[in-house]
Amino acid sequence: MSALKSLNLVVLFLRIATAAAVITPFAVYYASTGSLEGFLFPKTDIQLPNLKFDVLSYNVSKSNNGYVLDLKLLNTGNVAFGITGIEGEVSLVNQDFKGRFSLESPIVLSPAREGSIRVVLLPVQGDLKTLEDALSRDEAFNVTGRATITLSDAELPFSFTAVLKPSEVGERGGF
Amino acid sequence: MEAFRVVYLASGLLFLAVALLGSAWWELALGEPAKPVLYVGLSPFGFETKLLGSQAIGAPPALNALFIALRALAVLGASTITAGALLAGKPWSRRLLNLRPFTMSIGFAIVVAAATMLLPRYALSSVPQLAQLAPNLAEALTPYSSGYLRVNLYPLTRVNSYLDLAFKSQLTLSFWAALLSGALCITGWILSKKGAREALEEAKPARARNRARAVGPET
Repeated sequence: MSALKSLNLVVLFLRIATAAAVITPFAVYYASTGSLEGFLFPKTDIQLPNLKFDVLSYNVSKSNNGYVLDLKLLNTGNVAFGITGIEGEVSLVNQDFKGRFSLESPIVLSPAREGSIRVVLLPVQGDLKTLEDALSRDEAFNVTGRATITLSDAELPFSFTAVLKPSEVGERGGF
Repeated sequence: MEAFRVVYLASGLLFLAVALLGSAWWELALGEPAKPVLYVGLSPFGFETKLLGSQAIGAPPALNALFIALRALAVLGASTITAGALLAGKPWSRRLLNLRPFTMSIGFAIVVAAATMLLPRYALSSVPQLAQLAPNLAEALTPYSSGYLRVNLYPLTRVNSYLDLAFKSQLTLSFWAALLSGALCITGWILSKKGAREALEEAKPARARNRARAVGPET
């Protein structure tokens, strides 16, 4: 076979192979769907998880040198929900008080299960009396920190910043 | 083996491995990268979205066909480059060499750049509240951005608060391997053209001498 014939054969092979590589998948997928609409814009149901929880009760108590917040939660969604870490700072906007809070025990709640989390707040600067007085006057306070929540097998770390008033927290039943 | 064939061979084998592996070239993860809440992976060979570990949206059949076609073209292109580089003695071997690793990786980079620029603009114009809710959405989608997506909760809660969610958008090792393969491929092409030009210039004086020798006895 001459060199020219071989060259033409190679070029022909490459063209056929390229055309087949492009046409075959389109033909197979089109044949399997049966219609142009199904091929281009099929009807799909997006399965979104239902993430929902209720705060059943909360209780703030005074410990030796700080506050303990007990929060009872019920997972009313359809995926496991958990809080594996919370830590941050609370400070009063107009007063000299700063405190640190952290999660005592992480929880993961399966659907329809309830459980409690405990968050401990310890003063770093100023005393608890200042905080109590300010909160009773509905003064604003800053909350900043980091948390990690788990949703099914996934983890979502995030940081948060908020300027809140006790009345606003009360209205919403929480943050 | 000529230098350009060695470079083409490396390019072909690398691109063949990338095409057969088929993993994402660009990925976006919301949450812990090892256990993301939302994962989106894209390459010329596939598209994957996972919400809490399960597939959220499947690509339409037309897009799946396109991905398979692109993968077949990539495998074909890489295989022919490898064969062309190895079959040095055959006169048609140069016809097997092609620039598919270069065109595919550069084309993908252009598509990702355009999508990360245009999609947030489209989303912000269709849902104007999004600009207030996620002020750094456009920046967060860009590969190697700040690493967080800021969600302003004021529009939802009327309380001055925001969340910074862990967010990662990046071009993966597979993309960089494909780009390296493309760079090798274009280097091979340049070396091949340079070699051909040098061979042509060497052949010119020899041809002139031969012509002069052939004309000589008549004059």
